[in-house]
Amino acid sequence: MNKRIINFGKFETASVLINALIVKVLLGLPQLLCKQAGNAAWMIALISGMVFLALVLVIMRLYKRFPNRNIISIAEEAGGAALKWFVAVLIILPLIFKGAITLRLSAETINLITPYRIPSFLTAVLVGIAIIAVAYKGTEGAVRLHAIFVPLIVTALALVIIASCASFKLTNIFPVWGLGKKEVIKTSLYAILMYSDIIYILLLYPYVKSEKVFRRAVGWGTVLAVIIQLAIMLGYVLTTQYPGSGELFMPVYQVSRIIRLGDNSQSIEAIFYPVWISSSLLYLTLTQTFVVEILGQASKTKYEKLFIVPTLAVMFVIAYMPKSVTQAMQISQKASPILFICTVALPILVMIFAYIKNRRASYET
Amino acid sequence: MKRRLFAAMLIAVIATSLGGCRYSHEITEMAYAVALGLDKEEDGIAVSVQFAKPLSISGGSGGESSGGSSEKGEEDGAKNKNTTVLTVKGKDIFTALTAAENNLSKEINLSHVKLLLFSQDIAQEGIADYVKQFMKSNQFSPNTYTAISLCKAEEYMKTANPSLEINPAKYYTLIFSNNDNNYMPSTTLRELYFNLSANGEGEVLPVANLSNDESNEKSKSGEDGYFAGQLSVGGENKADVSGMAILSGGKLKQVLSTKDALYYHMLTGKLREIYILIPSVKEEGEHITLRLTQDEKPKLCADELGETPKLSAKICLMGELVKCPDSDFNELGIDGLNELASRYIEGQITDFLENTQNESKADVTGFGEISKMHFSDWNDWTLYNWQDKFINSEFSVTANVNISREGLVYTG
Repeated sequence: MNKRIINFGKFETASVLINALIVKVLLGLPQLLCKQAGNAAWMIALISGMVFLALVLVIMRLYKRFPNRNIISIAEEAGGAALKWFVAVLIILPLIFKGAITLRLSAETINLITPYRIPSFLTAVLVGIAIIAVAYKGTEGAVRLHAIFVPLIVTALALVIIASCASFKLTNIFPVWGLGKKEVIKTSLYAILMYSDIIYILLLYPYVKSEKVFRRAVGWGTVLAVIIQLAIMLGYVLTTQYPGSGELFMPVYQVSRIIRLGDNSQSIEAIFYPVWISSSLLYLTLTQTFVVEILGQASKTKYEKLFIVPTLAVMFVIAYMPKSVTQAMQISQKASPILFICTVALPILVMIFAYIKNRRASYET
Repeated sequence: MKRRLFAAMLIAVIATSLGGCRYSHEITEMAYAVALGLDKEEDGIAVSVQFAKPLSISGGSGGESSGGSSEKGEEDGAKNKNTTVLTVKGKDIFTALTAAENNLSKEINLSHVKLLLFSQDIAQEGIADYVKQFMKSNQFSPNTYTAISLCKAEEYMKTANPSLEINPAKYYTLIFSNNDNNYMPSTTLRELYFNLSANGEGEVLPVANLSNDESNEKSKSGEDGYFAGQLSVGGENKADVSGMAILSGGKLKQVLSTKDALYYHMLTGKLREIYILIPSVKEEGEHITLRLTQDEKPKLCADELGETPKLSAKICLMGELVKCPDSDFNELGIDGLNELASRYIEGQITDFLENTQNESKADVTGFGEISKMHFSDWNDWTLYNWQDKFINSEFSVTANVNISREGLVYTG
């Protein structure tokens, strides 16, 4: 733990959280929610966002008792090397899986939306090179990149929503409960499962300046991310009529395609290509960095960078296992409950266990 | 130092090996399509692609072909020297386009297509499948304009010969974007796609045709409602875009005149400045001319939803008196003229609504969008079956014309 002397501020920490939460919205969540709940998808973003905020508050409250430690250190403290390895493996696997799915989706998306006919695999290789380059710079490199690019991504998203205002149709949000109240509640619960990126909070903590800064950053980051998600979802629902809204690939990109600023500025969506790509790239670099870090921490090695290429190779293999991008998305949906258990429920249980153990120990002394 | 050297070498290797020209597309190697038309054939479809000739447009070597002088489609009878039309038959749009590409030295680029033209025959069979294919392709912009052609789409594209605009892409944008045109609707590919999948809504498209002055007995003047191709227009460009076509479930149901398009615009709040003629009350054969603008959005309401939905529309228009016989002005005064114009417009709009309700059985003005607000979820709305209920609905139209100006010279 001594090597963690980097001091991230509120801005850097919040940037990481915002990008981790909005990347799935950029890669297709609005379409999925519209398919499952109809035009009430925006309501799901609101409900699941509120539940997520409550969940973050619970985690922060628990975390208060373990200053300057990440979840692996807490597990080691509570259950020794066995629990440490158990938690490390159960966190690394979902991270690699999520990274692999994001890698596949982003490579296919780049391939589909750009006019160049580069094979998807070659795009993924280029993305892989970028990930390796950042991973060698470690957590600091990945987080500082977030601080630079996330404001640009958020600005671009705001521009897309503002510029598409002319195509808003208020009647698109009616019937207000979409495919029914039951579906809205069911899909909201399902959407909560997708917030497994909460794990980044538990991994970032030791790098942040102070507990106060960390609390504020997580609070602001989560609120902003939920607001951005809600704005994107509302923008999509208002511009895209149901049932068509459940059929569009990469919804935010599709909204950017309808922007028209006079006759001389057509295909304005091209400006936003780098934005969608950089968001996925940032997410992937962060995932890779944390996988390597957890491996290094669990094995207590100084040479954790040796894990960069093998873990990326595993990510590549998993990414290209599904036959198509649709299959990749289906697998990702099916796996979301397991991912949630590993990345949210397990750390909470570990923290509760560690808390009880600490308390018992203090009683005994 | 070693690290920097390694990084510099790595960048150099990546830049030189991946920044190659393998996947490059030179601008001069592209044939830029500006319009695409679909006609029905006995055994499939005919896809007509209208290409721009960039050299000709830029005033270069006048009329040099974009695809090479010996290529098919060069001597195609196109009247516009800035374009060339290539028609290929096939079972499907994209296989036909691939066949077309084989006949050209250049690669077809569809990202600049401004118009998708469906012939009447194709539209009667249904265009939903074609629209979905266009939407699936990333080459077509969702903002591409769509239209129905009463003549063959190929013929229309060959005849379109704009004299005021040399850039064909700009010409189609100006014509179909409907910035100031009350006589035709404007529908983009995206709007058409979503309307096709929406529950119980009709689709509206502009109608294109070729005007034929000599043989057309029904040739009309501007002030009457007329169908595409019926207006007597001098000049070389015989391509006419007027009126609207109503589709239901992707199939062509009805072709309406410019007059209907005008009242459609009034109901949807898209009316621009328009001159309308109202028959004089006092002098037979005379008329009152009003310039109308729509400053307020129309209010469409579903007052009662049952077996016979009661639908109402309230339209507010600002008017300027352009021409009025003295006897009408003296007898009616401004208030009387307001009343006369309001009743006249109410009658016309009611006729339009009943006509579309009875003939095409399609809700084109968006009453369905308003009605669905009364339902809590999509299942209830689907069960209500708007498409069937709309046929039985009753309309109540209130028009409120306020003549507030008389121009620079007082009337009467």
